[in-house]
Amino acid sequence: MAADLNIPAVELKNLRHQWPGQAFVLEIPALRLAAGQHLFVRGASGSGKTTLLNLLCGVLTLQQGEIWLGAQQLQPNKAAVRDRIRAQQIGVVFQQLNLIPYLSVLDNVLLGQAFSGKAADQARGRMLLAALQLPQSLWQEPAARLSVGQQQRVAIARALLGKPTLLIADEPTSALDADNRDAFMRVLLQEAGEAGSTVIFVSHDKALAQYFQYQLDMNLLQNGVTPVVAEALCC
Amino acid sequence: MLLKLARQSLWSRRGTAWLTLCSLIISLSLLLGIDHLRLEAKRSFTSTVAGTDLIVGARSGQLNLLLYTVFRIGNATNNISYDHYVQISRHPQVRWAIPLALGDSHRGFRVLGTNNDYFRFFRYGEQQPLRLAQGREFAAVYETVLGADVAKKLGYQLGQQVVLSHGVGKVSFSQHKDQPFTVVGILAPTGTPVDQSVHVGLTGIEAIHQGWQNGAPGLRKAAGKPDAAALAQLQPTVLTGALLGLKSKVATFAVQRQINEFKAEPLSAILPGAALAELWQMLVVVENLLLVITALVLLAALIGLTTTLLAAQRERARELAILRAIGARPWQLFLLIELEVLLLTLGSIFGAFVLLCGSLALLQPWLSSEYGLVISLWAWHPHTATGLGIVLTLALLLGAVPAFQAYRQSLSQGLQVRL
Repeated sequence: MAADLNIPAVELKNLRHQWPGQAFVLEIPALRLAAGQHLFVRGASGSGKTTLLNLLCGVLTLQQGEIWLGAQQLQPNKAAVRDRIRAQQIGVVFQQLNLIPYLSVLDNVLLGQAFSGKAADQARGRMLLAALQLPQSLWQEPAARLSVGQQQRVAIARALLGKPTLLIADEPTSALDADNRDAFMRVLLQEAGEAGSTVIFVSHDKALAQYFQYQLDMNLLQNGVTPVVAEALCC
Repeated sequence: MLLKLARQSLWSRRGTAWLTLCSLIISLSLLLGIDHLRLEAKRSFTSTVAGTDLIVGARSGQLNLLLYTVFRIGNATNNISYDHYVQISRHPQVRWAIPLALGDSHRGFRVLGTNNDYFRFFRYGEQQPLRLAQGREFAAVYETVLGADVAKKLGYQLGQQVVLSHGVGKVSFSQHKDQPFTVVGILAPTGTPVDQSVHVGLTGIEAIHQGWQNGAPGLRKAAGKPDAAALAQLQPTVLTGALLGLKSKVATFAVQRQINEFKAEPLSAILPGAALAELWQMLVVVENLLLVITALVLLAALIGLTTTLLAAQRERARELAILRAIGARPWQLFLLIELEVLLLTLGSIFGAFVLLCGSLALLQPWLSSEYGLVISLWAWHPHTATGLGIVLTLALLLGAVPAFQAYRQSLSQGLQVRL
């Protein structure tokens, strides 16, 4: 995706979301990320991380404010458009169990493009798997046979297959041990960098903040203290 | 891609999928089988007599008369006199008449005493005449023409000698041993009770019962075979019934009334069509009951299918969330579940046909020898497509329950799944 320097890759404006019957209000006045920038979102459970991710993915309907992905807006009354934008421009890596257990590793990687309306790019899938150091002998195995660490790497390959504008990672390292976690962070950011994707990485683990240029602390938002603005400063 | 997902997802749950498939196959083949047997039995029954306008016998109910004259089931209530038969056959409206004398058997197969008019006038199926596969019609007293099944089952060839037994049981204590018959002809298969009959001339029946009284060998037993002179003079005296063909259909009721009012002997004349309809009327209740029961069995199997899918829904919540995350639309998840239902149902329809045609192929010899039913192996009727369409629609409707749940879940749960 050719990055237009004047248009941020991800932009949130006056975002406000409240679950019915709950006092908690998620409010983000402004958030801008340029193409290729990596943002670390930190916060305890209940701080609205999940709500933010669901809003960004377009799964949840926005109540107030605007979310832009490049030149496209995630509009509240256009679920079909949001689903298509998600298929084409967003990659998601979950905490664990990212893969359809009965599909082969390669099919899992190519699965995303089945819904984006593009032809499956086999070559790029294989290239990514190789870059993520998954032995070729595993590619045709059902995903359920892989270790958790291997599964998370396959999840990265799937998320980055379509060179998404935005890569969303939701606590992807929580099921990994320390060694695996560091390796995972390195390949994630490296591959995202090569794909030119903007990364929004959510975790409660402060130790991971060292990998990121920008940070957003959900706890501060929640307490109604200064709304944090993560503004792209350079590039 | 969705199809591949549906296929692989079923494959990954092949244990439960197989069981669901089996229960669907069994109930579907029951439904198809009962429907098929019902129609084939009907076809088989109605093709047994064709072109016969009236059946005449001793006074009795029309079903009984129909059953023993045409289907060789049960026994005659009484005999009728041959002289009266001749009288009726000379009625101006009667075009042809076939005399029937039953009551003897050969190794479980009924013996039919008749004359050569039987080969000339008897019609079955679509007005087809009887055809000899081998040999010729009987001409002399001790000659017999076998039905196709009799010859095949007992391995009889032309020229072979057969001994008739008195009575119709498989095992008989009184055999007409002294007067064997020679096989001179074998009929081509007809798919009717004719295949299971041993045909002899009326004089043959008369000859073996010479000297018998009240259905048992006389005390003054006639010594052996009657001599040639006696044979030449032999005249039939009694019959069990007769088939009549009339010159004009319009006259049927008039002739029927005249026979029913026959003064010299109490006789009954029935219309085979009406009697078959009555027979069918009796069977239709049973038939409908069976159909209703199988339909319910099928419904239970379909509900079982829905239950299986609903039960799997919980463990599949994760799978659906992943599909949602990579851009699947909610209706695509709906479609995915419905595709699984479609695959299972189509698979079971295919399986049911294989099972049904296979078991029909296995059962056919037995059905035709025991019940005289010739069932076609191809269990397809014009309305089968409609029926299967209804089954498929029902399956998809029931499948919509878990499919809609998946749809709703995908809308409300977002990407997060609590484990």
